Amino acid sequence: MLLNNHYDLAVIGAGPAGMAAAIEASRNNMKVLVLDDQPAAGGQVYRQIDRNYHKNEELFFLGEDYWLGKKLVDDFKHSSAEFFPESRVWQITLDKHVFFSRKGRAYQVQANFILISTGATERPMPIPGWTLPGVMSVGGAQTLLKSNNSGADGAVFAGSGPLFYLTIWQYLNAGFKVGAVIDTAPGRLSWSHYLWALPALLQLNLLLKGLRWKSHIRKNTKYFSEVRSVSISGQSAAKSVSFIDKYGEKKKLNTSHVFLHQGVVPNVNLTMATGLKHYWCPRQLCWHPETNIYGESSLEGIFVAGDGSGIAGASAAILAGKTAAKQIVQYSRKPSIFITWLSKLKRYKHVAARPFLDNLFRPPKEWRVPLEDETIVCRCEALKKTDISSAISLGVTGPNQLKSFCRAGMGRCQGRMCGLTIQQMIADNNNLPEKDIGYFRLRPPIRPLTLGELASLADDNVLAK
Amino acid sequence: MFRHINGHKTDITIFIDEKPTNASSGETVAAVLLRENIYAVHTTPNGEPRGPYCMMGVCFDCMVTLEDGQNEQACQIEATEGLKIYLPISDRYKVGECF
Repeated sequence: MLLNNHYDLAVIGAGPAGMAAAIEASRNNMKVLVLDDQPAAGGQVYRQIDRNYHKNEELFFLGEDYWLGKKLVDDFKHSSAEFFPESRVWQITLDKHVFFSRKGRAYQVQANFILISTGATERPMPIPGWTLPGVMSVGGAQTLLKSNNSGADGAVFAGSGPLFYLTIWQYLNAGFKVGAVIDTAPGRLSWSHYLWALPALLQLNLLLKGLRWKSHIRKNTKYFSEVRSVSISGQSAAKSVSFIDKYGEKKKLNTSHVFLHQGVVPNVNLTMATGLKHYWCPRQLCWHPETNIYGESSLEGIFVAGDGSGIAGASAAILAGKTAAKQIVQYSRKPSIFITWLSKLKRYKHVAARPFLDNLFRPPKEWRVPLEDETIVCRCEALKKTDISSAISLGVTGPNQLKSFCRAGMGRCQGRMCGLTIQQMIADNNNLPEKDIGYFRLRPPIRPLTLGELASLADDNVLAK
Repeated sequence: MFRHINGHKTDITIFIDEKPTNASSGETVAAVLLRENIYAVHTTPNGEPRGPYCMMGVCFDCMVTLEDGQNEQACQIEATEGLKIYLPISDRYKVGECF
């Protein structure tokens, strides 16, 4: 199969936003290329839905919101967009060349417009023992359910957030035994919670669904609320998890599986490495790329849509992808103020509950920066909190300078698992707001790339299907 | 230990450090490792064990080596009939040779 050298639109990421954009753009006769690093379209939320659909009776536990994605994936498959899964984009240049690797070979294409819809990743939850084999993220556990129909009996879930409750609910319905649920959400709601709950009523369905999951979990698992000081112990793998319950009592549970979660944040590696402007979002405690209501970034012709531009969920992502594609199709025509307001209004229906959810599940600092000196912060380089704080105390002003002191963030994950923690640690030490500290300066290639792959760019653009 | 949901069947064989292992076509290699009770896949520079964590290509803690010597994230590659993977933690590698 020959890869064209030039496309009207290149979409990076075939999740809800990317698929919706590709459908809309190809409907308008644009030549669209879609790249995704996973083996199938759907993103994390509709992961492997195509393959799972024919056994939807067996897999009913994934829930109706998951199966809703089938139509989107079908429409995407039937669109004229060219789709290449297992394609890892590692660089986008300012002149809109997209470089990616697929099955050990590198390719490049050029596009008039680029849409980055690389979604979200889970916020790291650095607690003692989180690097032990057997400890995984809740999102990882959910991925195992979706793409491998596998789960572990007796696992302990620790954390909070919508995905946290959803995954436990799915686990229970799938017939796996849940060891215990350790909920770290603060118990008491403040006045600001109640205030934000008012607009959230516009998405009442969402709220009711969450309450339903939670009450199901409370009834069917060993449930501990308002938990503090969670730690995991074991020599070469997880053996037990300890914590302090809301009555101040120390508890210890034996388990070889612990799943952690403290919400999700935009996956900014590609947007930052491409050079888009980002701003610090204090409500979601993470970086967002700067975009207008249509998703266009600070660089002309490069758009961002979906959770990668701020956490808002799948339905908002579908709308954002579609809106971005519409704007790309009629790019030369400046939208009227009326259209702009209409777009804002349409979006609001899908994000009304977001401030409430963000406030409700905003992770307190003890889950973002470890309390104990011996806890690992940088997984790849095995750097403990004390290693990093002693380097910071030498007068480090930002994450990039820290690299030359102790290699934090220079391992294979390229700072994906420690960036936010390190930023917070420097902010605390230097008494400055997080936004002034900045993030790691991310540079291409944003994926490990072999010299052989790089050299293969000189070959023809013939893609192995 | 991880297991398939009730009634799920395996249909292919992959090789983990030359050991034949049952798998379902299309599932990820990381999922097969977990079901085989292999949680530690490699070690950090100072010798700490690490294994699959995020399952979506972010943490790089599930890197395995393919037959051609290429390193890949086990959560990003699908199991196919006869696929051979090697664990960096196994005896096949001496310290420093793999990474």
